Amino acid sequence: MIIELPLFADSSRRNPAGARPIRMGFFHFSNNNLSIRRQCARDIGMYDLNATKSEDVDLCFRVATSPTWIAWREDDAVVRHKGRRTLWGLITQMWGWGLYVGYPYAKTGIHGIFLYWLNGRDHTLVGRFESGRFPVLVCAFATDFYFVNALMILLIAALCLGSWWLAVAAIVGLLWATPRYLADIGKMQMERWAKVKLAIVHYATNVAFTVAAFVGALRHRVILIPSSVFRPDITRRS
Amino acid sequence: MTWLLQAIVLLLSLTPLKSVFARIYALGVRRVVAALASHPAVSCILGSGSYFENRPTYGLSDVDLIIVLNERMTRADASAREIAYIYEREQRIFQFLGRWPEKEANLIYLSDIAAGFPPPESFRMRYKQGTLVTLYGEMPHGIARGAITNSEVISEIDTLLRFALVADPRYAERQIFWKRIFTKLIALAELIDLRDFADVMRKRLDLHFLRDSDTRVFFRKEDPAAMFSVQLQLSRQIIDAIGARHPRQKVTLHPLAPNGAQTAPARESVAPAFRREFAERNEISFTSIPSVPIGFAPRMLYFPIEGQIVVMDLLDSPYDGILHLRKTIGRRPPSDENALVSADGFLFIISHQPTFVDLIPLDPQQFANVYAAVAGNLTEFEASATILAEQQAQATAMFHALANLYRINDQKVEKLPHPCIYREDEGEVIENALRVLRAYAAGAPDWTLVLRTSDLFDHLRCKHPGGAEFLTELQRYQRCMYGDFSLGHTEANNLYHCLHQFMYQALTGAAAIAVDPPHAHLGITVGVITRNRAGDLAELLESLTHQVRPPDEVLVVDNGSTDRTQEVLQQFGARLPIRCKFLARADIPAARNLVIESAAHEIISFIDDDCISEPRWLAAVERGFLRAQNIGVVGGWVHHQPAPQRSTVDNYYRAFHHTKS
Repeated sequence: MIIELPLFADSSRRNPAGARPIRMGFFHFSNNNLSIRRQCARDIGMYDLNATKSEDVDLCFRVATSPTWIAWREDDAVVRHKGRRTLWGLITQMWGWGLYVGYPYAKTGIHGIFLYWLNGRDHTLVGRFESGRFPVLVCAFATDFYFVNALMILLIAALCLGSWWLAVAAIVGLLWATPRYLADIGKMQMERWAKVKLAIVHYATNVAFTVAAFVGALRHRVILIPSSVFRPDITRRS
Repeated sequence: MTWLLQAIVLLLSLTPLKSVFARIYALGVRRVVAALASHPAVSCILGSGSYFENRPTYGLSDVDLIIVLNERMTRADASAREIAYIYEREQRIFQFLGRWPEKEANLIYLSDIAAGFPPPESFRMRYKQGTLVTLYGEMPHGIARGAITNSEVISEIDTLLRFALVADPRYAERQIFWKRIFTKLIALAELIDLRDFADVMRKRLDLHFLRDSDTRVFFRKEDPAAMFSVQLQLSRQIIDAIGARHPRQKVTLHPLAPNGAQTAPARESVAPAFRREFAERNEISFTSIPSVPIGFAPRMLYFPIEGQIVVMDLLDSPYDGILHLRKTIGRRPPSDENALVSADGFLFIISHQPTFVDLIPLDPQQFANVYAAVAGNLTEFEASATILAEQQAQATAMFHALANLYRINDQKVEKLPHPCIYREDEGEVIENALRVLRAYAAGAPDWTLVLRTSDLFDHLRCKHPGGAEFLTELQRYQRCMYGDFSLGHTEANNLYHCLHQFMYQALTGAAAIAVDPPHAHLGITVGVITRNRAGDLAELLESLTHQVRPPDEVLVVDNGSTDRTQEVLQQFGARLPIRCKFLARADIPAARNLVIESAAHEIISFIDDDCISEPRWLAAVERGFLRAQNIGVVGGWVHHQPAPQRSTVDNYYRAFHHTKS
């Protein structure tokens, strides 16, 4: 799973190499396959004891922002993970991750607004406003999942209000957004019924994760609309 | 749309409104310079072109900005993208600035120049002529010295040919486009003291528009195919005239193949993947030549060492033929399939880049060896002695610069502000190094012709016995990468560091080369945190016993298990160097810190108890850390271990959480 975080932007211009108009999302290594040099761990301050369930995100974040140490992907370093075996196990796992993912965001100490647009594998920062005087950190990742949900809500509202034009507009929007949202599943090689079930599970986990992340982040005074779950980058050397 | 705008501006600037345009131009230049200057990577901004030489034609003038980036910024940096972004934001308002893709070549990296790379030819020429105007910052000193060389002029002529081919066909249909090109060509001929030739060009009937004013020329159309043929013919004549001024030098290359038959040119027709598309229209004849180096400097590394280069001889008009070829190849999915195109006897490389199809002209002077190879003679060619000497000097400078880069990047990965996770395509790194070494062997003093990678390795082993062990391992590794296991597997894990060591010595012509052993060892502790998962833990430990590179220590933290975890650990005690720690509280971050602090070795590899390690896992982790001293964290991929029974949850993990099932 890929969790996105905004990177630091040195708006004070103290460090010329750090002031950049374009910032990208942040990828981390999961703890189940992460190797660390002891010197690096000590330099960046070990695992954070408060970062329950998001300690790997937090650690990789500090490596990415440290002036010297870097994180390296080695294609042949592969482990196989069993994952949860039941639907309930999966949903509670996603709920758990979601609840704690706000902490590393809060820990960055950044205040401001970051808007990302995630189009497939392109992660574009749409807009950024950063200020120490701003009371909170707002971080929103626009994905097709949110478009589909927003349009469905619009459709229901339009039907309730009896506004036919609005309903038609919502349906047209859904016809555009739904195939995009389902594109990842459409590419899977499996039976039609299995795809339908997968789409339902995917939707349910997305709801669990995004709601948990939103609620969990509020505790840390971060308004987070997280990236919904999408297919990880699988381009690798064959 | 742009045409209309240009036409209006052009006509209005004949009236007293001209001064308004002068103000708009000045404002636009001031704004874009100010915006670019605010970027910390920009060290200075220079202007070139007719506008800065105080003879502007509003609506048509070239406002050419050259942006010099300071030494801290390298090509790997994101600066170029950010500068494009800043530029395009201003260009949207001030259209006369010209679109960015055409200006991209105007970025000058001082870091490249500091490493010893020569700056681009067009910049060098303008710098030497003193036609650059400083708009911001301070013009860097001593970038290029001496008089303008023959090679620089010839490269400029090549650039003009490329420009005519890659320009938007809509522009190429206009006479003004060709007036620009031929004016520049005449200026180049005059620069190299071919005044008679320049006069003849001016008097040509088909180039009568050179005498007309820009405003008049702007509204006329022109046949691009005919014009390009004229350009090609004139360029060829100028290049030949430059070549004929100096004594010719005959060069003989020594083929490295064991038998002479290998070097005989293969004249059989080959079938590139896109041949089918040309089958109906009989306009191209396909042949192929063995893959020879393109020139002697390490910059045209388009073709692999082995195999054949496809040569496409255009039987039709060069301009239409090349345009058709670009379009056809552009429609195909991107690939590494580069080829040579021969148009009226002039050679081009056609190369499919990720976003467009590029054409690189190869003139018959600087790339005489390629022309000889196409004519069927791989081992002998003739070129102007002066140009050959210039080429050699430039090649030597570039090899030294590359050696510098290899030295700088040995054991250290430069920390860039953007990537969070670093990764390098090993195939590309090794293949590139081999192509550079082949180019090195092709020039003086070796003058060898390498047609197979194995020959190159034999040649290098013979020349540098100090690096023989490393070269053998590298060759094995390289073969395995392409699925050829005939030389056996290699467990050499320090190849990356050794490659850098070898390259910076070999490219500077070191007499004796010393390279570290290609095998190195780092102590690795595998850290596992477990709680009541005895069954899963047993599977994990079992997989750890099958590691190709066994762990030096397995440190298990028992986070308060109440099942048979201890029993399992004892079972594996004889097969793995297991140590166990207890932490009564179920606290994962604390347990991880405990592992880091009490591990016996420098590297700690965490794996979860519900995972199974692949046999090469630790070997890859060790190789990762050996690449550079400042690599602090190494990760890889997490694949899915399918459940005994397929279920939707299982499908979910397969699709969204893991990279592969």
